[in-house]
Amino acid sequence: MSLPAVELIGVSYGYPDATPALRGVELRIAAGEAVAVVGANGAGKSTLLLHLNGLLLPSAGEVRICGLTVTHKTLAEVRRRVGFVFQDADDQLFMPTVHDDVAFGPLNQGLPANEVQARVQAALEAVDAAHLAGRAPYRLSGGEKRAAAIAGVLAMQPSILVLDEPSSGLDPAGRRRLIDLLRSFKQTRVIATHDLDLALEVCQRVLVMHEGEVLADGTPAELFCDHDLLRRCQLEPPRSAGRAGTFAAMDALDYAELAQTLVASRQNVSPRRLIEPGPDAVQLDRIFAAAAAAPDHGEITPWRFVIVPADERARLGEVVFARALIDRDPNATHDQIDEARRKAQRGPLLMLAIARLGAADRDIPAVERLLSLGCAVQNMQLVAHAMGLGCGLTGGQALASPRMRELFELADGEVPVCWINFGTVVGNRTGRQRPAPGQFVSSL
Amino acid sequence: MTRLATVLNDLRSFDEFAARDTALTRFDPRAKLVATLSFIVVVVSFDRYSVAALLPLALFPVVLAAQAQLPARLLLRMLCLASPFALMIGILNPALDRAPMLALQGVAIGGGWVSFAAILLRFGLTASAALVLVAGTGMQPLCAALARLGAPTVFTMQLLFLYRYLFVLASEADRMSTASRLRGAGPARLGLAGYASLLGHLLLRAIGRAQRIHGAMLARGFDGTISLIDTRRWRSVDTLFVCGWCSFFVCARIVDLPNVIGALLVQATT
Repeated sequence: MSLPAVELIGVSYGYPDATPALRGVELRIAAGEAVAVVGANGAGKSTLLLHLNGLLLPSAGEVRICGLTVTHKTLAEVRRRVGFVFQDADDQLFMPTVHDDVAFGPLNQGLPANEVQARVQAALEAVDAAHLAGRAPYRLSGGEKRAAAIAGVLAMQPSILVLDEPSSGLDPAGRRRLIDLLRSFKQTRVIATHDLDLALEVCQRVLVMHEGEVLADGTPAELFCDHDLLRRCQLEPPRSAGRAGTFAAMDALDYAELAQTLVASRQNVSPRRLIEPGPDAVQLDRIFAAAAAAPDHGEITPWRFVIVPADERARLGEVVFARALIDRDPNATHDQIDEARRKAQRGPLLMLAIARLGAADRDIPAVERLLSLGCAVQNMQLVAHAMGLGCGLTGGQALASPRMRELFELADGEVPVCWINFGTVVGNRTGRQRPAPGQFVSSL
Repeated sequence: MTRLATVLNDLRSFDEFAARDTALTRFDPRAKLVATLSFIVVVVSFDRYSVAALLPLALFPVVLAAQAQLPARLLLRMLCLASPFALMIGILNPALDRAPMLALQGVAIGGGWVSFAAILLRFGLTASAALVLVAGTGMQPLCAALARLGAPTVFTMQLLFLYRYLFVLASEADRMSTASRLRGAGPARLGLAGYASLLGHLLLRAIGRAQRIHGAMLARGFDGTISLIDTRRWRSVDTLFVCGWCSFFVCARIVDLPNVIGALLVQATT
């Protein structure tokens, strides 16, 4: 069995003023995991993080990084493996230029100049900040500073990334770029944050901290729907938690039946009625009833259908439209994004995501979680790419998204993809062909 | 903009000149450092009443500032910032040394006034040369040059940290000053106790910030020395730079250039 990337065994820590910050924390994080540490102010999140690269050493217990116990003797090696991004980027950027700052870590590792240059270039490109190399850190915007701070850590090529409140102080566009960036990393990620939406989008696992203890440890979908837990820890459910809850509730449904129901509904329910105002509970009951009388659609049982209710749909539409707009025009202004959101609320967006159940080793909960994030285009891409699943998404400007096109290019020949507008096929595979009505299930 | 903010802005602008590609930045930092140190040694070697003899040496900071494309106004503002120290050193000279030394238009000028002027002039020359050196080189390469010339690491590190924390301190002071002004406590209303509290908080905040920065440095493998990428090589033009300026300094020290030039002018006109 491989060693955990991070292991805390009975870790306690008290500050000099006798405030206990950590109380017997037990924790194991596997390599490659993305873990969010959430909790109210003073819950011990930052203290926990500071233990991961030896900036604090435990009063009791043991911290192990890739099996290496953190002590004064192992600090250099631990810090080589663990990259720490501080909450305030101003604290981290202390060299005269971004280039010098990013080079600081690799130079401390004793690397030759050409290797340092290569790493600096690669790290800056990874965070899309190569153009900032010659700039003074204090002249950068908040998002640029955050990118430079992350580049400074990436240049050291750590196997574990620790980030303290990475989204604090960022505007929505900067926050979105950060989320995309964090999701693109393959390293083990430990992220302390109050931004539960970020945790939901980036992490597969959440630790809820309260008064120096890990109170809960589970998936975002589980924990963020536990309102009692969140209230107790003085947290608010993320805005997208409703989606997570919706999909958790979907687990109780018989997907095969639901699939048949939806197919049957094409004949019995007007697509427009499904789109606007959307399938509420009564309509769904009608659909289910219609399905009972529908012919047997045995071949569609391998498909898993997920319905997003009308009240969630508008929000999902916002995400899709805003993302599509940003994908098309990275310099889109807030006004333009707002206008896109308003359009999204009016437009007939598809709110049906379809994922194919595949081999047993595929991570279905992860697919659900990704889908639950509002059918964001990159989620679909991720799903299709990582798990070989076919996913469908359509609606207005989302079709024009380069990422969407990228998904279809990626999927063509490998992963069946279908765009469905609630019962109406609008394209398949790369979108170049338009299958006949009724063909959409069998063609997949 | 508050006065502190203006100072901070000046400091940052000054710092950014080093990143530009100018005639001065292209020279090896060691060449500029050696030339400037030689200049300072020569300037302070003049006796306390030398004023006119120092004037030709102003050529060095003026030429370097022009090479660095440093605006005169910015340089003067930075000089003004440091000038109180020079004023404090020399301010008592006119009172303590009243022996007449010069007569201008029949007015006797005491030795104290002459030495005061010499102190100010020496301050102006040395400080401007040092400022131009920093603006035309950058503190980081300058410290690397010092290290390569054999200066102890502890000294270069202290210099780097001092420079870095100058910005931290100014930035914290500016924030606190702005917060204080926004709540109606202008300079007149703050009072002595208010200023004392402000300074105390400034110190504590600066210490806290410094600790966080130090933590961030440790997290990226800092072990007591800051390594720098220094691929620059000494070229013949650097040798020329040092030799040329040092020759000029020696010449200005040995020969009373103003007198010589004056004599030549008188000879030419008569």
